[in-house]
Amino acid sequence: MSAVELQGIWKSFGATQVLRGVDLEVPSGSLTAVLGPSGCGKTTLLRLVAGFTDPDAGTIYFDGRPVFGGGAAVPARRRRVGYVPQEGALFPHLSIAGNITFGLPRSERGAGPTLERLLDLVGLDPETASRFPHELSGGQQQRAALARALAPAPDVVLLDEPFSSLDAGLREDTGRAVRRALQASGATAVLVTHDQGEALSLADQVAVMREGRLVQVGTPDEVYRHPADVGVASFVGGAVLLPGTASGAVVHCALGDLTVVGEGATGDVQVLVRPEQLVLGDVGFAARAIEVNYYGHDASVRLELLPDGPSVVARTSGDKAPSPGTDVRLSVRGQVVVYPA
Amino acid sequence: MALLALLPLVYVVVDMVGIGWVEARELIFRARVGELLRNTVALTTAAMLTSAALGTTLAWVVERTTIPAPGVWTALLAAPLVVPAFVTSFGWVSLWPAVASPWGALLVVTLAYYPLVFLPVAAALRGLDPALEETAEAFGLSGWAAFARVVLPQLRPALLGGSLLVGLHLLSEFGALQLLRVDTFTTAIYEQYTASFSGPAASTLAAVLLLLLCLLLLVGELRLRGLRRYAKVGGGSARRARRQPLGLASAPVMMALGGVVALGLGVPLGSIVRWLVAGVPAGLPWGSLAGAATTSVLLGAAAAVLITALALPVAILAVRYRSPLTSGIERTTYLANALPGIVVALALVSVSLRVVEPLYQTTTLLLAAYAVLYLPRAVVTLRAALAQAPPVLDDVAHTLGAGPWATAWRVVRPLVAPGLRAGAALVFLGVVTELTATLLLAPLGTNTLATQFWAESSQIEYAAAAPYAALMVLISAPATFLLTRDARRASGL
Repeated sequence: MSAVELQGIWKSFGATQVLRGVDLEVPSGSLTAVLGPSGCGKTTLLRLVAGFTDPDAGTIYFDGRPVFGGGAAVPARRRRVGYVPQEGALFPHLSIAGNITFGLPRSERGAGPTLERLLDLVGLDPETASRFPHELSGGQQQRAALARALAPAPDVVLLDEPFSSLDAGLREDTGRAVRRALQASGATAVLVTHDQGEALSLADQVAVMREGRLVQVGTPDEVYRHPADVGVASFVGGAVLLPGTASGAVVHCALGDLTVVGEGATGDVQVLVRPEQLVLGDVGFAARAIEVNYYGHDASVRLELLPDGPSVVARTSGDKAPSPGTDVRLSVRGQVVVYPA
Repeated sequence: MALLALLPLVYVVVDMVGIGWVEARELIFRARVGELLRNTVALTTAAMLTSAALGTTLAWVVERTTIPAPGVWTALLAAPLVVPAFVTSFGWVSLWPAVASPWGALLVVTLAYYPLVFLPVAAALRGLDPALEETAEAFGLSGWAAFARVVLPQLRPALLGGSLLVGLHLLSEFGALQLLRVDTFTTAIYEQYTASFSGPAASTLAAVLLLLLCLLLLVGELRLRGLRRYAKVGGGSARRARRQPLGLASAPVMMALGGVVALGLGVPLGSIVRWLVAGVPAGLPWGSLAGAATTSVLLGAAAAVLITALALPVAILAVRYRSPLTSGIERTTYLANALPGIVVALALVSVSLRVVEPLYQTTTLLLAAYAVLYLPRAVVTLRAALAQAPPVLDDVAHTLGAGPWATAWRVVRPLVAPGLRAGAALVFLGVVTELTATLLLAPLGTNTLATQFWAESSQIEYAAAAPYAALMVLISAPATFLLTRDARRASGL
């Protein structure tokens, strides 16, 4: 059964239509990431699930029972959701211990076995318990905010861009810690983010949102490898799009005849090739490296197909990156996806 | 509350209409009014400029040079705020009667009011991102050019805000200027009123004064408004700015700062002590001192409780339920901030005599005047405190099972409490050192430290006045110290 289910959710603020008929099922115990650019309505969606605001239309179910719609309107404090807002929003006047145990019955507040278990769950040092929020790093604050949300053992945990304020290194670490803690607690989680790397690496299910609608819901692999349309394709990762002519399982384009995933199509199409599918080597089409961004572990290379072909971006391992101006040969590995032109 | 704040304006208009246009024109277009206008404008403008220059220079020295013990200097340079301006004047006039002249007045009011510029500018300097100056220097600008082109523009909101406060204080200043024998609108209104109980004449003068005030406020607010975009963007930088090495100049600079402290704080306090010593042999009037002190403290405490309670809903509306109506209510209470005590007092006298006569000469009326005068202070501090409790914290508390009351008690109350205390302390301070409105409105037999001090010092009984001034300073000093310390901490983070 799905822990959270949304049916036909509409929401507007004044004249602005923010959500336009959103349907989503969040399987019990899973982590679902709602991925979308800023302003697409994803935070509003989260606030509706939490119960901070009500939708204009639609129904929200928790464990099959409606919490909004169908005559129900359960307020936020009775929905048993954990909420981790942006930048943590810890209570500035309470110590970390006071923050984490805020939602517990009076007898369990403050130091005690519950607090120790929660600190351990999110990977916080026990000595941080007596400190105040401003004395903690951003990553520690996020972990404390998660511990606070998990303390009353909620069925659903909602995370609103929890890592956006952290720098890159910390983000990955904190993300892993959050995922581990969520799995250990068995809670169902909905994470809202605009960072595709975060969504793909942390979530069991990714829901891509655009202009108030969910355009694709699937596993990270499905969303990355079989994007629903060209927009999703370029939003969830690097995309090389080439015009081509398809006939069944084969498409003809500037990079030769390539095998198409699935049914295929006929006629004029757009061909999606991921940069890591482009292989630089001794075989294939002649191309000249124009621009190289070297990252160490890998590099992205902008190439121009010779003599006057389109320019494409390839991702290659760092040690194989050519210098700008060198001529290389280019081939495509694996299957490609096509979209009607 | 907003209605109470608007009362003085309504009163002036009604009175003017009552006199009729012809008579009002005769009252306004007189040589006397022209002279008052010149005096008032000249002194206000000059004092705003000198306070701005002195306050900014001192702030720069304390915040941006290697002067030893900057924290001590900050406290000492802010300390003149502990001494009400009329006590500072008393200190100077009683030691050196020749200071009672326009130039002497400029010196004394500058010494009394420069902290109003010094404190915000120092706080702004502290909060400034040094990266901006470094960027300017990387463009090849010298230290001075960088200061003038990068730092000074960013200090403008603080500098203008502080100067505006100095101007508003001066327009409504009564005691200090009366002692210094400078006639401004405020002192003239008081004389008109006490000499002849001539309501209409006093209120025409008040109308001109109000007009001046409104102009000053309007210009000031427009200037400040246009500069809001100077607010820092991006995350805070923990870095502190480099300090300019003073080297050999250390000693003379410290002597200069010491000189300012000696003139602004040393002279008034020294003068009080001198007259105390002179008066002790004759015996101190213990009974009257104790009575006045009790009255001052009780009035201050009552006003603090009452006004903080009134300010809370205004601040909550303004912060949490923003709408044209709520910001209108908030604005109106600010307007009262600029109203001179004398105009508020006159308005309440007039209204109580005409409409609710049983209130005339009662403590209730006095407290109402305090409410109009000091509500803005309380609203401003409460507003800032409420901003510490953003609504997202309420959301989090709700998801953790706390209902509205539990959230108010466990989240909002602890966050707002420091602001409540600060607001109450500000009101208390204001009331304990308030002179003008108290003189006009206090019921017969109700004597505060300020009015007793005034009664004695206007009879040139300096020795008899000194003990009241000493007690006033003693009572208000701890609260002022705590408030400036809080302000320093808050901006020092």
